[in-house]
Amino acid sequence: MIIRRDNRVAEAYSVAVTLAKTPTQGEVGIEIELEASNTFPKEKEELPAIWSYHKDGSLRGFDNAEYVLDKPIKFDEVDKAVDDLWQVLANKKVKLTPSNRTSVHVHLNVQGFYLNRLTAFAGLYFAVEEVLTQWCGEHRVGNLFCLRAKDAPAIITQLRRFIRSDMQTQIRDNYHYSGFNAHAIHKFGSIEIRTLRGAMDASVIKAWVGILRRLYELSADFPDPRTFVDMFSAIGPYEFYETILGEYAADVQSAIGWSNEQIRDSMYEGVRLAQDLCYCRDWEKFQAVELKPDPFGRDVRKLRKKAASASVQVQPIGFLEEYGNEGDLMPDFAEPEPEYDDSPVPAPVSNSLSQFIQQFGASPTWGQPNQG
Amino acid sequence: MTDSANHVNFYENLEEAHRRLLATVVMYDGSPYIVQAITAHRPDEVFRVYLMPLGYEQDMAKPDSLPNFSQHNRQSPALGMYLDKWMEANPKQDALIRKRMDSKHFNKFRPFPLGMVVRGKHTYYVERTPQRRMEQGLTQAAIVETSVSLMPQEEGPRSSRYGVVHLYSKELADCILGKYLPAEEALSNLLDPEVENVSLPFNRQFAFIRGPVGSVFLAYKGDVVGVLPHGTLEAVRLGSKYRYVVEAVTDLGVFQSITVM
Repeated sequence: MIIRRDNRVAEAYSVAVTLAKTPTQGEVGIEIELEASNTFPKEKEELPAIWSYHKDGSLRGFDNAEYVLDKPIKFDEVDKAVDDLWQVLANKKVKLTPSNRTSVHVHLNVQGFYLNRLTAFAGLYFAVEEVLTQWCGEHRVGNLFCLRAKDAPAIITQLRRFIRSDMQTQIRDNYHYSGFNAHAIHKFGSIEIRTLRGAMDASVIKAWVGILRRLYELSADFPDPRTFVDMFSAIGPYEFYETILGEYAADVQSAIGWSNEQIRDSMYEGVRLAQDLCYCRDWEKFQAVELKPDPFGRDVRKLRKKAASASVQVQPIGFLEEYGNEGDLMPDFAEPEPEYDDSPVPAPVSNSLSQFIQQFGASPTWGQPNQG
Repeated sequence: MTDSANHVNFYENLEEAHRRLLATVVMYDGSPYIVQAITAHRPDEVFRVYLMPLGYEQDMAKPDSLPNFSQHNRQSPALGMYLDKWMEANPKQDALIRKRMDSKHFNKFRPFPLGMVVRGKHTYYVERTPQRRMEQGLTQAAIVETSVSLMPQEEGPRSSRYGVVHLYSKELADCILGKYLPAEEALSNLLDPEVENVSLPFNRQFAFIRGPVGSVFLAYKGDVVGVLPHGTLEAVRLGSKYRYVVEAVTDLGVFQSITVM
């Protein structure tokens, strides 16, 4: 008997659907660790409404604090949120002290991502990770609490398994100490970027979130993650760097004081790491299927199967029209559906270099933030 | 850009230095060492680090060829004084070196590249993995290995805790130092029926694997990516799904011709 490979295109679902995450709105969560030579405000009423104080046992100083956003916010709201927190610290005359124990962690909501966009985002990050880590702080380079993929390549190997298995492989807790912490995807449906040093002023955090936003939004432009690796070959390393970081490229390079040649070498190394991810599966056999995450965090795929076998629809037609949004019935989800539900399903995958050059050579959208 | 506080001894105090480094593998001036002791017994307030070369093999016929590290509490200055005396009394020993903690040759205890390791007849691709632990230096738990083999690697890399590559081994030292056979020599050994190795690396990321009926395959990290159709360095043919490796293979400068299936 001849047994042929099953070459059917597999249906793929978003992170929220596949990992049965309760839908979360907002794009960014931020944790800011600080130490000071006097006391921090800690009571909820002393802080801006969206921030809370948390105790972190790893911090020292005369006093210390970890401020965490209560829930994710939009990218556009980050500047004000961080400024408001710093204003409170200024009003309370908090004297921040530099410390290599403190850091800033940024969670990026990837619940609405499909595997191809998640791969493109990871690949883009790893391509520039060395440069960005240098920018984040000299003592963050090779730091055991935020190891780069260059320091610990098993980060890439583990992500490859996760991508190849359609998210069925668990990214274990020990990967928490990666600069690109993909373990958070199981906990929160987010990627946690742990790389930024403890910040002494708000501008550093705002700039860092801006850089991450750039990569986050750019990832939507590569439905086939292999295309950005092909782009690297087509345009060369330095132009690749400038294209990926866009408006931030010059400032980052100037801040770290690297020559063009150092940037080029770093891009070669970064893309070598990224390509192991981007080529780890055949994206032509990947088809994104849009399913709304279940508001109760149940596995929508199972509900769908069950519903199909019972000839019952999971969300009856007319439900929303009759009752409005689910949030009207459930206070915990009292806001509109997450924005990603309104995003178009990623376009069909194309992978050849000629298609890529055609696509990006002619496309006026290249380099602009994705609107989705 | 401002950076955070720097300490004379890189870490805030002796306790933290112990927690981050003791019994781990670190690099000093480009070579790997096991951190045996860190002491604060000198008046200059700079810690002294006592290092043993990775892969050092003790002469079992000379039990005194190593100092007794457990003779004193590791926090006690007496340990440093004892080790200094031992080194003075054994000027020809090559088991221990003493370095200042503030030396730039430690490169801030940053991670270093691993790669292909030969263990017995087999080759393993070894990578560092993050650990939710406190050690900055390399530990056994922080290395994972993938067998470089024609057998499918469905399970992915396994922790070296359950594997075969030992943290303190000479094999790992050779890997860290990038000591590999030249490609010609690795290949000719694999083609020699008197040689029992089933695979041999010639680079941190590349190895040859012996296949059936005289065939030879090329491995890149943990994947078998190509075949040497003539069993020579004349040509390598890469699998189509590994076309992205072409640049890395080209950079080796080993093969005269590289094609993709």
